Amino acid sequence: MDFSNNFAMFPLDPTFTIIAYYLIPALLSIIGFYVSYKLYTNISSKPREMFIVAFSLTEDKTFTEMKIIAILFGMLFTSLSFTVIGMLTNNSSILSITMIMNMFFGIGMIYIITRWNKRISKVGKEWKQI
Amino acid sequence: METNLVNIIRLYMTSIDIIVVFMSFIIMLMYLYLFSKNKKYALIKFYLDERIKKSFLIIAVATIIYSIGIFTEMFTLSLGIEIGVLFSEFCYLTFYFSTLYFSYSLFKSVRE
Repeated sequence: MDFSNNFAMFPLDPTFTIIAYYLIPALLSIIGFYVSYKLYTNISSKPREMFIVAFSLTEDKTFTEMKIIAILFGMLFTSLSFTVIGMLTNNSSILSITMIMNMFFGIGMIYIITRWNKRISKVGKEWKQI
Repeated sequence: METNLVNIIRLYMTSIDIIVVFMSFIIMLMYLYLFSKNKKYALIKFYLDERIKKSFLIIAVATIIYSIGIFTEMFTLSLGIEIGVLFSEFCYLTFYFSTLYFSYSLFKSVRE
């Protein structure tokens, strides 16, 4: 079974294909792994009370983040629906659109997790000082 | 024989994608409910909830798994290793289930 044929059905320039299907996903997955691992260590090393303080003092920011997450999942829903339609109808242009949408979802999630990381680290430092 | 395997894998991937479509739709609806009537202050309930730390930890772990899934899919697609593609699909499913859990605990706290 040759999955590399999947790439052949996208009518794209080879250089663009390498960037779109290898370099960008590789970069995004490495950054995603790094920021989410940092979030994990940040959360697990700090007490729950500090966590409550970190998020309850920044309601407006958190509310905005929730909105962004809603938009991201709305986009992901559209993208996944397109993926199913594209796979069933074997339409390459629809599948190309889904790749771009998925990329935006990844960037959005990295952005949100980075914001959470920053907030927890900042409150963590203040918590230690107190 | 190989065509059958391809068809089975495609069917499997499409069915997982369909499940995931519904899950992302439910997650989106939960978030839409959250800010439909400006429930900004109701979020405090979520912060005071004991599950908050666990929920965020789950999101962190799920995103790690998701990243591994993308990385695996990227290589296995080009190398033609079927099991890798199936593995990455499982990674995506884990991510969506975890996000669903996070959204549900948020939704539940706000609704109460």
